[in-house]
Parts: sequence; structure tokens; C-alpha cells
Amino acid sequence: MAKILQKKKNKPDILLSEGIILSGCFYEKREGTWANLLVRAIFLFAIVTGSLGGMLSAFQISYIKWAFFLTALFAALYCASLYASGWWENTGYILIFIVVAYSGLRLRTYISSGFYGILNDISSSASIFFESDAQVSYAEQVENHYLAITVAMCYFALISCIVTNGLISRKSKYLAASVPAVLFLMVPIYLEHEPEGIYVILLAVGIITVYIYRQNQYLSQRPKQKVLLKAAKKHLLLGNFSGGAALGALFAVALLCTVIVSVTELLIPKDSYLAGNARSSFKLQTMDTMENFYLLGVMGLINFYPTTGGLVNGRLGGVGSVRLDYETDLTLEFVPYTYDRIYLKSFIGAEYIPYENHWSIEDQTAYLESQKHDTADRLEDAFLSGRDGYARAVMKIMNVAAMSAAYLPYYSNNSAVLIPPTQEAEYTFFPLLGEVPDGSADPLVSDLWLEVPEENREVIADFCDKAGLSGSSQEIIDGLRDYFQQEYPYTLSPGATPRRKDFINYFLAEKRKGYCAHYASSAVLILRYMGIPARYVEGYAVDAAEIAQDAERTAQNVSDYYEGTSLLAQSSVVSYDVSDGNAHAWVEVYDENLGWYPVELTPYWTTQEESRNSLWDMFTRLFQTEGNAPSVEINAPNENTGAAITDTIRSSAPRLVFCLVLLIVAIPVWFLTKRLIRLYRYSHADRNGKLLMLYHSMIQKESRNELKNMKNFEEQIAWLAENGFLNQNWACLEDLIQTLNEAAFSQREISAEAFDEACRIINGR
Amino acid sequence: MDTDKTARIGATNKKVHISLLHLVIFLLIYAINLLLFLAFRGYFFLIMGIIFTTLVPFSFYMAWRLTDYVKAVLISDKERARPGEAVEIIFTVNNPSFLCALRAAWFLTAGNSFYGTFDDQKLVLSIPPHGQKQFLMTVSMTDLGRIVFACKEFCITDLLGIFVIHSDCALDNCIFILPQADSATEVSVPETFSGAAELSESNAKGNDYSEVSDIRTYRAGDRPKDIHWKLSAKQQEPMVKERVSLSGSEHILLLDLPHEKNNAEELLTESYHQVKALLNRHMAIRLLIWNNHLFSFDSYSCNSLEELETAFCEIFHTSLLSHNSDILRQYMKNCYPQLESYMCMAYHEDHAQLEICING
Repeated sequence: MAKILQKKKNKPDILLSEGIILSGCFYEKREGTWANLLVRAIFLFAIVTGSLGGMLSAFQISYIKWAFFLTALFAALYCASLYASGWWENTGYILIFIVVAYSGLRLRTYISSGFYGILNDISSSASIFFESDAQVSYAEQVENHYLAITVAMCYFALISCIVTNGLISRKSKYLAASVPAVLFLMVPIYLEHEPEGIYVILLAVGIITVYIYRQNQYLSQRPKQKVLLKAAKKHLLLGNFSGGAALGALFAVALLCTVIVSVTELLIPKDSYLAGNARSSFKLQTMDTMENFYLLGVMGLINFYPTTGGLVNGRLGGVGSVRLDYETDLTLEFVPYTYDRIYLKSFIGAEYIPYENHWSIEDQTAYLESQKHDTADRLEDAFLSGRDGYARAVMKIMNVAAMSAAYLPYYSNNSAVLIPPTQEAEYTFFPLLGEVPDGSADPLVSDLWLEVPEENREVIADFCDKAGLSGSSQEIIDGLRDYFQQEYPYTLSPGATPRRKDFINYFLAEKRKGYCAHYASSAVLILRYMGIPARYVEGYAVDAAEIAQDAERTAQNVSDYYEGTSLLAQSSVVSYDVSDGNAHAWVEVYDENLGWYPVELTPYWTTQEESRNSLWDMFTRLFQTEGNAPSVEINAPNENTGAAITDTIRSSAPRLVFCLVLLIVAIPVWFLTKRLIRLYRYSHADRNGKLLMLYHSMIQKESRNELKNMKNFEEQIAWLAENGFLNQNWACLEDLIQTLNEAAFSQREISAEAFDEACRIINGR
Repeated sequence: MDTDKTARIGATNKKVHISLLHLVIFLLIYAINLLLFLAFRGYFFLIMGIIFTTLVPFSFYMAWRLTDYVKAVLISDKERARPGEAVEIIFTVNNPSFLCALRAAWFLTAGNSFYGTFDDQKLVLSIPPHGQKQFLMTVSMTDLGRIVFACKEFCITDLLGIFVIHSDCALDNCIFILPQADSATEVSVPETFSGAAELSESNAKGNDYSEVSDIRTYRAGDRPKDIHWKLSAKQQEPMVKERVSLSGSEHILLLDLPHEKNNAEELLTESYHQVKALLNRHMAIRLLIWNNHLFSFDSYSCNSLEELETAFCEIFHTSLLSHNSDILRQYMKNCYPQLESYMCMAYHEDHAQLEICING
């Protein structure tokens, strides 16, 4: 049993066995300290150059490499030397910080210019990867791009060495060192650019060497006293960590990495590998997000209009991905009467503002025209005349959490009835059941219904050429619908529109995918371009299948809600909850006979799109209730939009719930298990073990850094006494120190009396 | 350097232990790399995966082969020392190969074989490639006896810390701790002791002033009085005591060692100084000490200080066993029936004292 007998100048003697004392001075007989420091400098150098140099080599950015390597080498040697002695560590850090600050100040123009130069080069590669014309560029102040990048890289090497050295610290924290290093390389790897072999070797050697040192419990150049005390307690005699062995291990790892990298590049050439394996499903799923991030920075990851289904009164482009909460927005009470989709119109967009990306209806003529309800009036007249094929219906709408607006079913003449949140309103409407009413619609007055902004004309002209749109209005609409279906896949995560990009142009010419707002907006301008009056409409859309599945029957009298012809054989008054999943945008087209009527041009939502749902979507689904959960089948006959959610996604919710529950349960279980283990150990420990556990428990409770850094019981208890945590006289505390020393280092078990007394002092503090 | 024990180790009986903690950590890192590879399909992560995969057998092979190559030596700078005197124990590891290990543990046993107190230690050293590694231990002993440093097993951990290869070895080194040569107080032997225990050979018929040197089976021609009746009864065959005639000038000193360690320590120290004092007076001393294993007295002739120290070393080769003083005297009478008297160093009333004992 190793026992600390006494302390002389912090060199404890160790009792190897009864009557055999090992002098503590053997700890001072250190071998190869400088070799150790050299190894530390080498792996520091390898990590820094491997990550920074690797990133630049991947993007093929030119700079003076030898200057970068030399700076990194000197910085690594310097940082490693800081561990040679305690006083030098503090002084050395102050000196290097002064150097960093001074050089940063003097070379700030070059450094910032070089940094921007690097970003511009990366941006160039990113725009190719994202197949985007948009490119982020920064103004470089120094004309000499090559020199500026070299200066910046040298400066970064200096800072990286200091930071990495600090991260690795004395305890060889390999994760802290390797995570930032690998993160640097992830940027080019994501963009399908790979670092050169030499940098891969450097980084691999650096990371693996630090890992190996850690796993072999190589902690520091100079083990602290408490490390030695712990070792002595475990019967460990810590010999010196040989610098020769460290160099040997480093050399072996370097040799292995070099051979593997060389052989791999020989057998699997990088280019041929990238050609076949570059795209993964992870990349495909995250490309939109990453592109937003690339174009807009962190703000690109945030939805600017996170309200109902990504639709906010014609504001477009601020939603990177539609995130649905499936909470009830409206509750409808009505009598189902058709197999078709029921639209509730809340916003009409007349004028599209390019680059500002929103629909407005500020023009007074257009506004007044949009408020007209001549079709509803004609349908009402037809109904009142008692003809078959017409009906009058009532829909009660409770605004649970939607915006304050009128939610007009087709065709209603109650456009003045707004429903504020938490309030209810009743709309009378006259459904179009196939029979077009007599007469003709009021002629259009405003020119806005045919206006296409100049900025969009070129793109739309190209689009119409490619889509081959021609013929009658209906043929154009059908052709457009088919073309969207074939060439413009639906997605809830199209990504935000980049700055300085027009929403419709970007969708039609570049992104070529989107959700209902993209299709409706573009279709309006396309139809107008083709001479068909059209306007943009937002609101809610409810499919008959959803109603059939999820609506609840009420005891209300049908005749109070519906009169006249119905397309359904049997009807009753139902209550149906509309969520943000039903939010939708569509197109209204003007017909001389019918007036404005809704046209659906958003493509079907395919199962392929399901996999593109973000984790956030899945997460929000966890909180949906059975009542408001959408339940439209993906193969349902009605076209689907942002309202369509598949059962497949729904089925994944329980798994996610399970994982979350597991996580929530695991945390207390983990703490409970730790507690039980501690109790088990306590119950099975002898008096020495029990006393030490009690003492360490007390120390942990105090959680003071001063306390943790103290090397022995004497210092700790003196500190506790001075700070009022132990309120005993010094004689008692000395007894406690002696008992603790015996418990920690003696072979013999302490007496029951001593144990009780020590426990009394600790517990009664 | 008096003692040099070298062993080629590791050639046989290697056992591989796996450190689960290190294995789990490595697998975790491996899994992270795999996930990154699947997510990014990066060439870099492919290479890192291959490196990680190859690193395990590579690291294991290094450690496995190293156990065959490595040689260790355990030496001390003194064979005999005094209590409190510093002794250098040097543990040297030689590695002729270019393989290295960052962590090798040597299971050292240190203890006093005379008192039977041993404790295990683990000496952790890294082994440099193609080189030598020394671990110098400066030890000092407080107790008399035979201090043994031994290493029967060592283990080499591979670079990743996953595999721990244990191997047998046979290294040991011992140091005899003798009483202080210069006593603080001069030991005086009472005048009455001089000659009192001197063994005088009688000319009386039938007397045989000799000591038993061995016990063997009975052969034709042996004298009946030499038969060891008690032992014969135990062995179921007649045993006889072989005798060597004692010279007439030696003084017998029986060491009646108490079983308690501190008392034995005091008695041995006192005995050492008494005998040394007697030797200074040109007296020949024969030390007798009961050997329970051989069931006879061990006898050590001390005509000089060197012989005295050798005798003490021989004594320390045995182990301290408890016995009853009265029975010891009875044995003395049985083994040396012709001896009239002898000196006896015994522990009485909390101190060791020399006394004259009448044999019989």
C-alpha cells in the first residue's frame, strides 16, 4: 500500500511496504522533457496546418505556403514550450497575446482583405455547388489577393495554434482539439471539394496522436501533486513519460497515415470517388437550408413570416420552409354539399411588386372591384327563383387563432364581415354546383388584372416558350398545371429567396420548386402574360376527404344551414377544425360569364416530398391533437398543397415521441443510477472508503474552484475553516485531517471512534 | 552492483485483456466518423475511416511484438544495508526493436521476507523505441530483514489503450538490512558471562560434546544413543542424529526470537551488538536459532564480523516464526544434552537481555 508518509517540499515519500520507504524525489527525474514538448509542438502544428491548410487546398486557394507553414511551426513550438514551466506559461501567454494584438492592429487591412478573399473564393465554389447565379462577394481592400491571403493565413495560424493549444490543454482533450479542426474541413467537403493528401495526413496524425496520448493517460509534462497523490493511492508509481516513446508513437502514426493515404489515393482516386459518391441524402435534404445560410447568413435559417402555413397577406419569399403546428385556426360549422375542395378566401392580391416580393391591392379601383360580389348576387337570384342546381348555405366560422380577416366561402356576398380572433361570424353563400347563372359578369375596369411587371416579363416569356402554352384559356390553364406538375416539384422547404432576387423569377428560372404561394404567384403573372385576367388569393382550402374523415356531426338542424340542391346524397351539419395545414394560396381567373372563379395550379404533393420535411416539422406534429391532425391521403383525388400531410409522417411521430420520452426518462435514470451506485459503494466500503466518500461529497457540494485546486486535506480543511464552512476548533480539525490522511493512504482501517468523530465534524459543519 | 537479474520476457504465456472503456470510446469516435462519412460522403472521412480501421490491428501488433522484444533488469547498488540507509533500486527496460509503448506497467512486489510483509505496486513506464528506459527508486528501509523487490508480470498497453497484453517475467532483487554497525551505546558483556557458556568437552566416558549437524536414516553400525526417537516415531523408521564434534573454544548463543515484530527487531539488534562485542574480545561465537521447518537448530559460526553479518543474512533468509521459549530450551536440552550451559538472548519484560542458561 502506497502511503504518503510525510511531505517535504511537496515531494511525498511513499511507503512501498512495511518498513520500505520510496523517496518521492523520483518524480523529478524527468526524461526527454524537450522531446515531449517537441511532440506536442508537432501535433499542434499538424492539427492547425491540416485543418486550415486543408480547407484552402480543397478550394485551391493560392497563397505563400512556406510562410504559412513556418508561422504555424514557430507558433506551435512556442505554444508547446509554454508547458515547460509554470512561470513561463503565464509570461509566455501574455507575450503571445501582445504579439497577436499588435500584429492584428498593424496588419488589419491585409488580414481583413485576405479573409474576404478567402470568403470570395469559397463563395465562388459554393455558387457552383448550389447551381446558383447568386454569389456573395466581399470587397477586398488589398489589390494583391495572393499576398493578402498569405498574411491572413499566417495570422490565422498564429491564433489557431494558441486556441488549439488551449483546447488540448494539459489533459490532451482530443475532442476539443479535433472538433474545430474537422469543422473547418467540413465546409469544403460539403461543397464537394476535398483537401490535398498531405493535409489529410497532417490532420489525421495530429488528431490521432492527441487521442493516443489521452488514451495512454499522458496528462502533462509535469504531473500535478494531486495526480501523484491519486496515483500513490492506487498503488501506481508513475514513471516518466518518455519523450523517445512519444516520438516513436508519433512516427508510427505518421507512417501509417502516410501509407494509408497514399494507397487509398492510388486505389480509389479522389476524382473518381467524388464523381460517384458526392451526393448523399443528407446533403440533398440540407442543400436548401445550406444555400439559404450561404446566401443570407444565419438570418437565412429563420422564417421571417412564420405564421399560418407560410402565408401572410401576399408577403412572399421570407419563408425558407413551411413549418406547420397543426393547431386549429378556424372551426367551421356547415353542411357539406360537394366532393370538391372548399375554399375560404381571405386575401386578394392584385398588383405584384417585383423584388419587394409581395402582392398588394392598394389601387382603389382594383380594391373596389375585388370587393364586388356580382357572381354571388346572380347565384342568389337563381336560387331565389327556385331553380334546380342552386342552393343557399350558411357557414359559421369561429376564429380560433387565425388572423383577423373575412374568410369567404365561394360565393358569398358578406365580404364586409371580418372575424377577429376568438370570435365567431356567419357567412351566407351560394355554392356553384355546376350550373352557371344567367347573365354575364361585370366587366373588368382595372388594368391591374392583366398587368405583368416589366422585371418579370423576360423570365415569364421564357417560361411560356418552354411550357408551350397556347390555345384557349382552359387549354392554357391545363397546360400550365401539367407543366408545373412535371417540372416544378412541390416542397414545403424551398428555401428563402435570396436578397436582391425576385421571388417569381427566382422560382421560375432558378429554384424551380416551391409551395402553393410560388405556384399561385407565378401562375397569376403567367396567365396575365397569356392574356387571361387573374389574381392571387390566399386563405384556407379544405378537401372533402378531410371533412369526411375528421369532421364531427352536430345536432344542428340541416335546414338552418343549407337549402336547395346538394351534390351529396345525405348531409348533416358538421363541425370541422381547420389548421395551418389547410392554409393555401390559389389563383382566381376571370371568366366573362362566371366572373372570378378559383383555379388550382399547385401540383400534387408526392411521397418524395415527405422525406423533405424538416425535423422541426416532425417536432411540431408531436403537439397536434387528434382532432386537428390532418388526415388527407396522399393519393386522394384532390390536388394537394401545403394542407396535405401524409400518414407516413404521422407514423414517425410516435417514434420521435418515444425518443423524446426515452431522453426525458434517461436523464433522471442516469442521476438515479449514479446515486444508487454511490450508495452501493458506500454500503460496501470500509470505514476508510465511507469517510472519504462523505468528505468528497462535502467538497463537491461546495463546488469552489479554490477548493478543487488544493492539493491536500490540510489546505482544503484550512480553507473551509477560514471561510466558515467548518465550525470546529482547530484541534478537532487537526484530528479530522489526520483521520482523513489515514483513511486515504493507510493500509489499516481507521477506528470506529475516529470515523464517528470525523463524520460528526463533516456532517455537523 | 551486486545483484543482476535479467529476464527475457514475454516469449510465453501472453494474455490479452481488453479495456472496455477505451474500446467504447474508440467505437464512439469510429461511429462519429462513419456518420460523418455517410452524411457527407467525403473522401476525407473515407480515409479517416480506413485509418481508424487499420489503426486497431496496427496498434495491437506493435504491443504484441513488443512483449517479445523487451528485456528488463532489476538491480540494486547494495546487497546489504543498514536501517535508514538509502539504497538505489534501478529498474531498466531495454527495447532492441523500433516498436514503442506509451504505457507499460510492471507489477512490482516489495516486502520483507523475514517478517512476511509484502505489498504490490504498479510501476508505469513508457518504452521508447530502440532504446533503454530506467526507473530509479531511492528506497530506505526501517526494519531489519530481507527486503525483496520482485516482478513476476508486466503488461504493455497498445497505443489506443484498448488492448492490454499481460506477460510473465521473473525479476527479483533482495537486500539484507542488518543492524546498525555502530551502536550508540557500547555493549558490555558481563564478566561472569565470559567462559560461563564456554563449551568444555568432558573426558567422561560416554559423553559426546558435539552438535547435531544432520538427521538421516539409520544405518548398520550406528550407536543406539544417536537414534532420534521422537522423529523415528513420526517417520515410522529409525532416524539417527549425525553429530559434528564442537571445538572447545566456541560460545553458544541461542536466539530466542519473540513472535512480535518490534521485539524481535530489538532482540536481533541487541544480539548483533552483543556478538560484535564478544568478537571484539576475540571470542568465537556460535549462533543457534530454531528452525521450525527443519525441526532443528540452525547453527552459524561467527569468528569475525563478516561471518556475523553472513549469519544474520542467513537468519533473514528464514522467516520469523513464533515458538514457546520453554519448549525451545527443551529442544536445546534434547539436541545438545552434553551442553552444560549456554548464552541465550531472550526478550523479557519489554527488553531484550542476554542471560546464561543452564542446559537441563
